Amino acid sequence: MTIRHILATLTAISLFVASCSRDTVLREDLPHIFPDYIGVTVPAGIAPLNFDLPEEYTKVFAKVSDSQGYSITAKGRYAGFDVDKWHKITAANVGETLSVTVAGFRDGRWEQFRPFMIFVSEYPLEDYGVTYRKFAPGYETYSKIGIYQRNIHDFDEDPILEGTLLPGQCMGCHTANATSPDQFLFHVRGKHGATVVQTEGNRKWLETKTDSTIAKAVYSYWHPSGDYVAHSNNKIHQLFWTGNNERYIEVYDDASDVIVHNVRNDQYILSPLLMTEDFETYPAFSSDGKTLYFCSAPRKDVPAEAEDLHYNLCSISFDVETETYGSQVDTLINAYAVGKSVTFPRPSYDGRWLLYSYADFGCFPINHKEADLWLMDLRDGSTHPLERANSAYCESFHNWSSDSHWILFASRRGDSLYSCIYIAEIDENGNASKPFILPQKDPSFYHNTLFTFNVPDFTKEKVDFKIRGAYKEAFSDERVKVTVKK
Amino acid sequence: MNKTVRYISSAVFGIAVFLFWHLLYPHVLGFQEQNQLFLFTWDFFVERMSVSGGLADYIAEFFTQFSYIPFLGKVLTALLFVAFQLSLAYAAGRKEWYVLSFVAPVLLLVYMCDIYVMLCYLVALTISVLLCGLYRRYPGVIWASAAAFLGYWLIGPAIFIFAIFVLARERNCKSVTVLALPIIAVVVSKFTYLQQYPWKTVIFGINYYRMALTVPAMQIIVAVTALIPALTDCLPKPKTMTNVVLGLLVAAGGMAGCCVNYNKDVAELVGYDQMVRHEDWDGILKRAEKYQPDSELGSVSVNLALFMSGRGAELPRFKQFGTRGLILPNIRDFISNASSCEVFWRLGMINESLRYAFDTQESLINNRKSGRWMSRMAQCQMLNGRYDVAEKYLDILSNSLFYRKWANGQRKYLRNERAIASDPIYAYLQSVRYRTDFLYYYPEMDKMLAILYHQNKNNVMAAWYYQAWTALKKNENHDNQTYTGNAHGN
Repeated sequence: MTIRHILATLTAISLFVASCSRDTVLREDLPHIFPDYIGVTVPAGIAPLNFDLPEEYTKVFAKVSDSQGYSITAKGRYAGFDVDKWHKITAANVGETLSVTVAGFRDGRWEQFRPFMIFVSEYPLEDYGVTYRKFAPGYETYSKIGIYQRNIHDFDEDPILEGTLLPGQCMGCHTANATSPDQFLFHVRGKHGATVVQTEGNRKWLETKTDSTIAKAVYSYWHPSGDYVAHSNNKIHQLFWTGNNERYIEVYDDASDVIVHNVRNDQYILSPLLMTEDFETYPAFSSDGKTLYFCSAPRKDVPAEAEDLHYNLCSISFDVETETYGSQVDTLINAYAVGKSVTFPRPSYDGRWLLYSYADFGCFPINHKEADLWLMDLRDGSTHPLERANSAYCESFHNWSSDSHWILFASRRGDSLYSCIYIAEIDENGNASKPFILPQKDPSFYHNTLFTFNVPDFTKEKVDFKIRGAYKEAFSDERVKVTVKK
Repeated sequence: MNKTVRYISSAVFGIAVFLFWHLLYPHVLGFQEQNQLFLFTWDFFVERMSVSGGLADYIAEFFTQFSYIPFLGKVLTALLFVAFQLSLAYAAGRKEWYVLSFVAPVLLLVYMCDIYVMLCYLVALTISVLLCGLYRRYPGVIWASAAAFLGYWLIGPAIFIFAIFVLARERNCKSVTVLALPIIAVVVSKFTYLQQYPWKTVIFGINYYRMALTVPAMQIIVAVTALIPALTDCLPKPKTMTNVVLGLLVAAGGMAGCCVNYNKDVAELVGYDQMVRHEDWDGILKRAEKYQPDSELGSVSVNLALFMSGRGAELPRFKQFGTRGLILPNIRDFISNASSCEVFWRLGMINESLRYAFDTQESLINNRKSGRWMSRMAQCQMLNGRYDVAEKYLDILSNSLFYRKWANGQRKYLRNERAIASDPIYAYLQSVRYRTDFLYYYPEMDKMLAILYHQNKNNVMAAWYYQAWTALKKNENHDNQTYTGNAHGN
């Protein structure tokens, strides 16, 4: 232990003692902190896990200690840690455990709770941050909408594109090629709609509806080569539940197909196997780019039979050299047979796992309270739920970090309506750690915000989307028309 | 013009403005209050201040919140107009041209016949003109340059009135900086903090007009006329008769402008909406008896008032718009859903009421929240047992002036079904709501109403709406048939 460590420890102890007067009450229970960071696993260098106690505690004191005796403290209206000190203590304790002692000031005295643990993962999370869409969660209308990026190592959030620049237009999900900011796309909906594809700093505004396809591109996924994007073309509808307190909205397709889009020449590569009468959606390429995963449900008379829509996980091979598909579709998970629905397949970038949503029915798990995350081992096809990551509320819109050791997902577990981003470690056996919510500087942020965090994804580096010209490009309606390969 | 006449004319103007809001648009200020939610929080202040014109917007929203009490709102708005007029007089070079200080306020009043015009514009103009007056008394290029530069951020492009005033008054190279600085502020803002706004919005103001990318000509005209009094130095002293004639012209022009710009349809829509909000069923029916409803939304309000006042049988007496005059399908704007939302709430169709309230709030095209609709959303979420979400809304509302008491009073229902069961309204709504779950489908509203009634025979409102719906639907199919109105009210 260095002198620096000893001094830091002594300072922390003295501060703690000073904070805890003679009237300090020692409690045996764990503190009810929010967000709930008790027992979570974090990567070194993540933003500080600032937290608070219930409002009856007017002051909070927290001390984070490692086994070497080094500690950092925070005291105030809530426990807000210094970013550099937090980085330092987590970096010094990779693969170790941090002990957090919390005291709250209530009714003129301090109450000290039983310490809890935070685990620092052996796996680093070196991606710059996360991207997501923010809007008010609800029904058919949104006032403010935007795509943002957030540095996960501190609290900086930057807009990529906000609705204020494109009034009246809706922005779809930001879709990057395996977390790379060099290749990404997003859809703009509305009168001046388009699919915006940016590769190596150049962007183009595409019209993705063709005479041979049923709708515009909706759910997209990049081929690892960066030359192709798989899209689903969906005719999306939504209806609303009348009586059940547990569910409000049902999103469904009454037609959907999957196609592959060559983004170099803007040609669609079609296959009758992916454009059947059944509903094909949510395409995703394997990490080697040779397999195209997607979800498929037998056609139903929707919305009357909306609750009978069960999507299977399927795959088909894809050859980039010849731009051809395989001759058969394989069903990897027959969810229909067991009355369940698989959606949103997301293969890990190392080729080992495939993460997906598992719900009772339908194709839009974010509105399904029962939706959970499941993992498929691509080596043997076995599947299991991510028990520690799941909750009584929905988990969905998940994806992998660039090194495939971390996942993020949106969950409504906080208050049942507003989705927040959670991050969890996936170990060698495919088990998830207890996830932690994306930290915010002020712990009350999530309670106060009227935005939901939608379709999050990791981004390896900061996204550089040149705002200049975007307004003109959007409203000019000059679009590159996608054609179909003959 | 002597002092007494000046005071009297300003007072008369204030009264005229009050009467404008009281007689011509009696419900519009209440409607504007409904379309914002002023919060006494640091985050709210910072959010407003994070865009150009933020301070003016903050002050405007502060005043607008008082329209929760309509009379108070009208008085305060009239006082703001008088403040604007007095600022113009303060900035004027010659007191003899006092009458010219009424031109811009009168034009602004005419402009505000358009309900998309935000009070922020009035506040921004007033501050800018006040700066002109200050400059006249305490000339100084340094402070004027600083004020012009910061002014763009604090009150928006209205600061150019001040900058042009300084330039016109000084006519030297130094004063060019006073004009150049806000231009630089516009450019710097656009390339830094306002990147996510189009040039047009950055140049003409983010919060002056509710609809983005729209800059009515009147906005420019009012701004130009706001400069007139400040530039009266070069005018000769007017004769008394000139003042009288000008005064009469301004008054007559203002009245003519208000008459021409008066939007009867909007006044009706907003009027019905606000009367439903305040459960003024008699007021609605009196108005409908005088002027038959001229829109589906009006009809929804009148039919709701008929049922709520126990006069359901009188439905055929009033002009009908088919089934859409009973409950409108979801429409993405910030007024059409309002009365239907209230119908759903009283019917016990909680999820539908929640949806309409949410969509109405989210349809506010300037990204604001609504105290009225957030309150209703909190109630719906509470009845649905989503207490965490309800608590979120109540916590937000408790930071406002006029919703605080209500929000704090609602906390007793959180996670307390016994308390909900003991509340007459909540208990009733819980007892008459759907007991089964199915997908809402507007074209089959009659079936949904029938199910609602059959599941809860006490729900006489569902029965009445079902009968009215089927009858009006029949009328839609067979125009020769008329609804007899045999169904009873509550």
